[in-house]
Amino acid sequence: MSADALLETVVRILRDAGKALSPGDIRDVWQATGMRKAAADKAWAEVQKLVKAHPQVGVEGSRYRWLGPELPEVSPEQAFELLLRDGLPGPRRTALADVVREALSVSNESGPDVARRRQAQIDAVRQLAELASEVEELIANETEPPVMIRQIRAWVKRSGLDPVGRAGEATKFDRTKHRPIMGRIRDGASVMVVRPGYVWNRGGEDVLLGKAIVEE
Amino acid sequence: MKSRNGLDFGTSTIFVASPDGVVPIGETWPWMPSLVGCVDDGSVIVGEHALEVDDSQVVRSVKRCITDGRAFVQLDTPVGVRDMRADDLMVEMLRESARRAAANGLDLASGATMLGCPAMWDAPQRKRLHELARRAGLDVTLADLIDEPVAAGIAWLSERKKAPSKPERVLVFDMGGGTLDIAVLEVQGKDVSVLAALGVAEAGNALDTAIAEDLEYALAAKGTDISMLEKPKRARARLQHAAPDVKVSLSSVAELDVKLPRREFGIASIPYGRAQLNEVFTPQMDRAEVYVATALRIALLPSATDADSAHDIARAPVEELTEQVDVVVLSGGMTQIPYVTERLRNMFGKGTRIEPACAAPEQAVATGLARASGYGLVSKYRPAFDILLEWDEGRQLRTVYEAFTPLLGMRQIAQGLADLRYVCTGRQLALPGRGTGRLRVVSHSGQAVKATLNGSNLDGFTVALSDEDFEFSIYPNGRIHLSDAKGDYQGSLDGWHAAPAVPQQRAGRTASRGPRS
Repeated sequence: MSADALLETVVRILRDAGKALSPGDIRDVWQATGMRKAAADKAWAEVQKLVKAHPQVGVEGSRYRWLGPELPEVSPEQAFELLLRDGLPGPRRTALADVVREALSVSNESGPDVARRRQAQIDAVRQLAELASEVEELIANETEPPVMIRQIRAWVKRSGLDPVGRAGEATKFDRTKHRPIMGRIRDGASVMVVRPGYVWNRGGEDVLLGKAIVEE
Repeated sequence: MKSRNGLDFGTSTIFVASPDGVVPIGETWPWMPSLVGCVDDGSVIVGEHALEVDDSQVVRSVKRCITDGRAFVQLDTPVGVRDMRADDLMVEMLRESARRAAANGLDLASGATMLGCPAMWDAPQRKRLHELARRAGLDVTLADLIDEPVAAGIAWLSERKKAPSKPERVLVFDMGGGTLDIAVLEVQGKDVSVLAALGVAEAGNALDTAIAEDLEYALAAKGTDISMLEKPKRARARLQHAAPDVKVSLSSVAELDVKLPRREFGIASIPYGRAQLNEVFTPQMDRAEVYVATALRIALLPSATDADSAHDIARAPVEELTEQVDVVVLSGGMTQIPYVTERLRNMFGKGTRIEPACAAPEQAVATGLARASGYGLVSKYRPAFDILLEWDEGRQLRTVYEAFTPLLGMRQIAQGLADLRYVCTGRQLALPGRGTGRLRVVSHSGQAVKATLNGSNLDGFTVALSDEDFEFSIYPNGRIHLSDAKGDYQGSLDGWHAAPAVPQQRAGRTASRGPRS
């Protein structure tokens, strides 16, 4: 760890303590976070002068105390912008980082809505995973292609999806449902479906997920 | 005011919900599976983790121990077969559900929790679940146990945009994996009277086995005899594995190809249609219709005036019963099978609407439980009070009526008996031949019970004890009758037709005593 980084941890320890700490107290905190004793002793020797010289740290005999200053009120967004600038002193950087960290921890708070959002994401991805499993199983079973396509269609139907056209099907161009593979096609022209689109029925509302791709 | 939440302790799954809806507690599903197992060191694991141990060390559907009245389950552990207390396992499951809910921001311990229970459960079964929930640290009173189909009905009511001004009769058809539950509700605004709530262990999952057997017949018709295959047991397991998917897929398409491994069956698929599914489902739905008719008969009894009309109700044609229903509400995963709607559509007239309880029928019970506090509930089928008889300065006590006992059994209705009532005799209670006792009424709903006998308060009514002459009856229309050594007394349960609100104050057991005037 660099001397600057070590200084930053000492400043944070002093701020969190809210009281004067001895070098031994600081080394204890380091060790509690996983630093070995020898490394902690060496680190203190390295950083001691920097701590003493720190403008926001006061020396009381052999103890050290955080003196401030309090950070003016900044929003997490402002703190993030400031952090991106170079040349900020260590304590200032630490304080700004704490503002951002706190905001992130708030947004990560668990709650029913967060759990419901997570569940909705899982459910959506599960659909994809199950379709992939379905295809794998069909292939392993040596299923004939017509049966395979019927299975896939049944599967997507079950998910509330209705196809727009069938691949290879001849139809009349309808700009509301079809997208040309290239160029422009006039409404009503004879076309062939290259790739079907899908409509999702969401609680009575039809959502066109993708138009069918067609060619003349 | 403390919030109320719902916990649906199902046979296969456990859901929890706040009034805003279900809060996911599964690792990847909204529910936690109702599984409990024992790991090698003897400790108990629940939910998805139980799937990681050997099948012989897992109990599925442990809730059935309450239904079946079993105290122990056997588990195969590394140190031999162990009898484990079912109650301890269920407490662990409830505790884990609460822990997961808390981790997702819903603290069941800090607010009251409404618990669902099968409509078929009697008083001791309900008290057992209540005690388990208390042991798991949940804030639950007996009045917080709500019949599962009633909860599903409340979920439907809560989703309704506009309530009609006139009373509506609602039949809830809740068909899940473990039981079929049916409730008949009289709804006016936010007042809900439960006219009937009954359930049977008519496992919806039995359909899976029926489908697997049918697939075996279909294969035989195509020339594949499973018993002649190299590994018949494995082949049958394949069909059983395919069955739930067949059931679900045929909800949206009329026909599908059931996947089969060609290396095992010689063919890669076999067609199976909705008509075949309907055929194997028919016997189960035939029985379900009988239960629906029975529930509708029970529901008419509170408005019956005497034994004669009760007799008529027991023999009324089904069409007369169904035409009084405004809405049939569907709940439970099995009701997604189109044949259920089809059969109920044929059974009920055109004037009856058939609607799902909510968008996800498997979540209806938990959602309804969490929203139940917004509704006034009164059960006219399983009243929420005990009637006790005490004498010898309280040293002797007998239970004349135990809360949540159905006033009528399904068999009484099915047999068309004219004398439909709950009755308790001096012989059943082993009363002494003489002496004086006193009736006590203990409410479990937090609301005092208003009931009179011979113009006096039922609570505190003096009884001339007699093993021969004592007979206490409660009729479905709220009439009560007592015979004792000195005479006959008529009375009624006042407010039987009123719908007191679910108590906001969690008073627990409220005993009201009053002198006989």
